[in-house]
Amino acid sequence: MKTDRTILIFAAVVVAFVAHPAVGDEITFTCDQGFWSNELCWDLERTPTSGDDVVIPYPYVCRVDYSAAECRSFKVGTTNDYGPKLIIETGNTLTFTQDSAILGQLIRGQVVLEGSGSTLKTLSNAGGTVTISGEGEIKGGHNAAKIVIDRTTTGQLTITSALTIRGALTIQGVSKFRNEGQVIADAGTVTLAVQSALSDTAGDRWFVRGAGSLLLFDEALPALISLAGNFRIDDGATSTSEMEFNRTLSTTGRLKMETGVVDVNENVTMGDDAAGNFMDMTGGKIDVAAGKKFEHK
Amino acid sequence: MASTKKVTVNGVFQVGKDLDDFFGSGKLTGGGTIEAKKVIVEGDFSEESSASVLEVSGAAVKTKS
Repeated sequence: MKTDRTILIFAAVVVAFVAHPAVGDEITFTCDQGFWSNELCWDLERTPTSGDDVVIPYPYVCRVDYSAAECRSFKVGTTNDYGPKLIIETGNTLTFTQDSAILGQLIRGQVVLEGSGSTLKTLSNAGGTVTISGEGEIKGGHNAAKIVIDRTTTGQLTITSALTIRGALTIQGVSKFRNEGQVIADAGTVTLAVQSALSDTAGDRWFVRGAGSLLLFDEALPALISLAGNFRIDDGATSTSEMEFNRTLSTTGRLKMETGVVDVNENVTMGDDAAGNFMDMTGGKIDVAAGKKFEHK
Repeated sequence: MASTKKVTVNGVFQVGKDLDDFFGSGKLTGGGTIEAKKVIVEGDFSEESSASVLEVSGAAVKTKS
């Protein structure tokens, strides 16, 4: 009888384990300034694995110093007030699979893609949407720094309303990218090159705000892009600032430009009478390639 | 255009269309505002195809309902 009971308990434990496999641990960075690869900089005295939920508390600075850093999710900051920094060094990659956050309202938390090849990558064989939320930002430091979205062709990365992607970088991959926050070219070229779909929500979503900066809608995007957001070339922009459309694009949002160039190489339609999304051009140039058309309601 | 002037176009304000070997170029300077129901800038379709340009400096082009 006692043996039967032991077997039953053992079976129950096995069933519970199979139904709820271990997903890893919450693992917290503990060095003022330190490296991801340093085991002594983590509270569990080991480096994170693909099942772990990583936490970087304020005011720490964590540097990703190798090409195969991974975690299940990351949380840059622990409160909404102050955000720390997670810096992905030149040529290195951090891969994550689940919803993550970059916090910081008073001091914005940052994920910094420091140089060429610095990569923040999301993967999932199951596809699905992964979200980066919070009031922080992803800051690209080089035109060849990358956000890679490879969650299958039906998968998606969404940034929520308060999150900003800025600087210079490329957003690419086989999946979809949804901008519910802000994408700002203010320190070089921001290239949109995801292959499955590009989407957004109504409001100010796409910006050029730096001298010599370019927001590029690349040929790698789907052939027809349908958006709802506004496009702005303003604060900090100069005559060398540019927005370039190399794919057919329509938005019910509006264009507001004070300077710079809108370079139209495929048909572009903007505006919505009913929503009051009218064009406001007080400077700059709209340059439309042969056989193409720019139209603003 | 005088800085105090506003030109209202009750239709489409268009730069470049069916231009047969010529491109369209519109340049608005010196103040003032053009308001139109719709703004279109269209590149030339001809064999001698060229870009069309709308340029604004110290003035404004806006759409309205």
